Amino acid sequence: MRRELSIAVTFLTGLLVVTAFFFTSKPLAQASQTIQSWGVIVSAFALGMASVNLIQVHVKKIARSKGMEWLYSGALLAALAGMTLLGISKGPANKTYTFWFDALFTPGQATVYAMTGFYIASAAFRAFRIRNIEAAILLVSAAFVMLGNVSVGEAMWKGFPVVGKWLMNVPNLAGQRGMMIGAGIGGIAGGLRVLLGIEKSYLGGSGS
Amino acid sequence: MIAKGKVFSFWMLVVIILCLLYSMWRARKGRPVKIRKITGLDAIEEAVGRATEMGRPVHFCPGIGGISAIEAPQTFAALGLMGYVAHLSAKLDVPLIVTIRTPEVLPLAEETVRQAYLEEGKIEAYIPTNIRFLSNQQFAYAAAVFGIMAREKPAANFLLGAFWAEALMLAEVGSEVGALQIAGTAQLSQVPFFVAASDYCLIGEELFAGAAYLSQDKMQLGSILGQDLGKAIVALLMLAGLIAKQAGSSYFTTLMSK
Amino acid sequence: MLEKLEKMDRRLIYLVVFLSLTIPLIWPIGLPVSIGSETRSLYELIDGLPARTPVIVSFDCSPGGYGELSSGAMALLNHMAKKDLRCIGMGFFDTGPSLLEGALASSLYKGKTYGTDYVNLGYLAGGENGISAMAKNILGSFPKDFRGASTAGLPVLQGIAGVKDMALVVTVSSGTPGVAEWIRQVGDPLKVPMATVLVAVNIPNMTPYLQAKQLCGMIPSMKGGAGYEALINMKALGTAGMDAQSISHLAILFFVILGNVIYFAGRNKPAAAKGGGRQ
Repeated sequence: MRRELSIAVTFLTGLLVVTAFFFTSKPLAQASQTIQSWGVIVSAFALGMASVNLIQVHVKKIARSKGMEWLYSGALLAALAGMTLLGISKGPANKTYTFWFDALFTPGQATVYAMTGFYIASAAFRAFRIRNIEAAILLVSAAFVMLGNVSVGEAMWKGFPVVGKWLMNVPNLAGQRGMMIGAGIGGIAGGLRVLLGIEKSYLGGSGS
Repeated sequence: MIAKGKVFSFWMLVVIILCLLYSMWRARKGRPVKIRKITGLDAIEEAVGRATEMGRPVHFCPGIGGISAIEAPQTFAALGLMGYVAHLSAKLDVPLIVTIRTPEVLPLAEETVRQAYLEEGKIEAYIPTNIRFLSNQQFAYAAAVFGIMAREKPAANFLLGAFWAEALMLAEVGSEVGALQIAGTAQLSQVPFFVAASDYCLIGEELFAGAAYLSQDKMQLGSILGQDLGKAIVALLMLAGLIAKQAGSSYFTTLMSK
Repeated sequence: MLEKLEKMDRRLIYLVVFLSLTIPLIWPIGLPVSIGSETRSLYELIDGLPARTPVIVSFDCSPGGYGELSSGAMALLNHMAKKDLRCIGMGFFDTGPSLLEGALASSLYKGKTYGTDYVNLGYLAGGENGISAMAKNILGSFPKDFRGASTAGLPVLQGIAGVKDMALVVTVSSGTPGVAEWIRQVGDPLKVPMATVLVAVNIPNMTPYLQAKQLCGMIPSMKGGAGYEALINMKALGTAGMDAQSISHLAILFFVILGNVIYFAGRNKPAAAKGGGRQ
């Protein structure tokens, strides 16, 4: 019964939101807006629940830790509690909140993102081998696009940006459009399977 | 009635849905649907088997997308594949670690894995704290996964779903710890990174076809055929538009902007 | 020798990349910066707007992505401030408005009046749903700004009934919700001109929109930022970063070539099977 109810709710809300998108009807639009706001509220509660999961995992880690391992979990829990209380009581525009955001959070995120540059070098060294014709075409195209995107490439030869741009605007774009259309239709099919209850993986089990 | 600027989209959606419904009805009637071999999906059993032999866990990441935005179908597709992996992990007694970024995916992942263990009769082996919400911030999540992979050293690493900038890093760290990697996403910007850095890659719709391919469920296979019918119609429209444009007619351009 | 190179410690690769990025930042080479047509289009559009025209600048980016976008975003804000345009700031990423606040404080807007010349309306949850809600009713979606003050009666929002009153919407985007969502909810249905400051990895995905004129301009990554800095004559991080980007690209190409030399030289020898990475 629980499954059937979940599928019914999914179908009805999905149908309402899709219909409201296409049809000009104030009651439909309002209903759709309300449902989407409920979605935001559910997400907020899901965040609270996920925080409970996080706390459970790290409290267990602290209880079972050997040596100084507990320090990392402790720091995480302290930061979670501290920033949550600060944000709720003083708001995100508060000086202390902004200080920790600018001094710790932003540089931390930027640092991890910046590591992509290093990983792309090691991935390129390991994986970009000319094993066949397709790999050779990929490599030559990548070289033209890379050199076309930077000043040194243009300084070496004026043709690099021209060829690079053509590769991006013609064959790459054609492939991207094809994949976009395919993925888009795949998304519609996936959505329809969920709405009709054919795809039940989100309710638990193997999904069939 | 139909909002201005959305008439063509609405009717195209209706056509695609009709294609899907027709194909699913046809499959249900017993007309077989064959999907070509998808190496990445065939390798799932090999990957989990490898983890069993090496005595190391399996890591599964169902993407960092949610269930309410445009990447939702990818997340649902990943959850379907997670169920299959969870069944295999339960059957072969290998620990399964699932890392979650989006909070609302956590209960779905917990239920999917728990149900899989229950169906395999191994509910006592199910460890709830192996389904871990790490952070809803993208790079904090990525950094946490790096740590888990470095410490737990999974023998099989599944990166299936919607990914963004952390995709390459997750795949590279997985490669560094020696994991067999099966990745898949419909995020076009990340496909090249997965192709370069993982052993097997599901590109675009191969991810959506995953659950159908593995379960061989008639209705799901039928919907894959429906997708292909929809694509064929779009291709015909594109061809007709191209010919019309070359002939100097803007009929299709006007039609599509309605 | 080849085997040693094949199995070389990845940290050596990371060291070479680190040096190729750091050395040009400390000792700039001064390579010329080219300006793309899409960057020039956006510059000309903004340059042609009369004073006090409202423009939405939406920071839909994470701190990680902002590292790449900051040069373009700052150049854009500085140009808008020079042209005395009203900056209506907002964000659909939770970290966006905080980044916007920092950007405004570092831009030429810091010499202007908050609430009259610019405003940071803050974060609206819901992704594409949030953009859709904002498109229908800006004031209703943002009853308070990022600093907690009421938005009712703010001089900067005077005469603005909805998004249709904006001359331009620029999204500083590093992911989703981003360009596609803005075009679906605002650009196409409401016919408001759209532009973007975009991370490099998303440029191939967004080029179709540029070609279809659904985007009227783009500042692509740091290269676009450097180009925009040259256009407004305010060279900064973008210009400084292009030398580093050039040398690091050469370093990566070197490793690709080295990898292939090793591969072809050792092709007849049986390869050691390893988990991870294509064989």
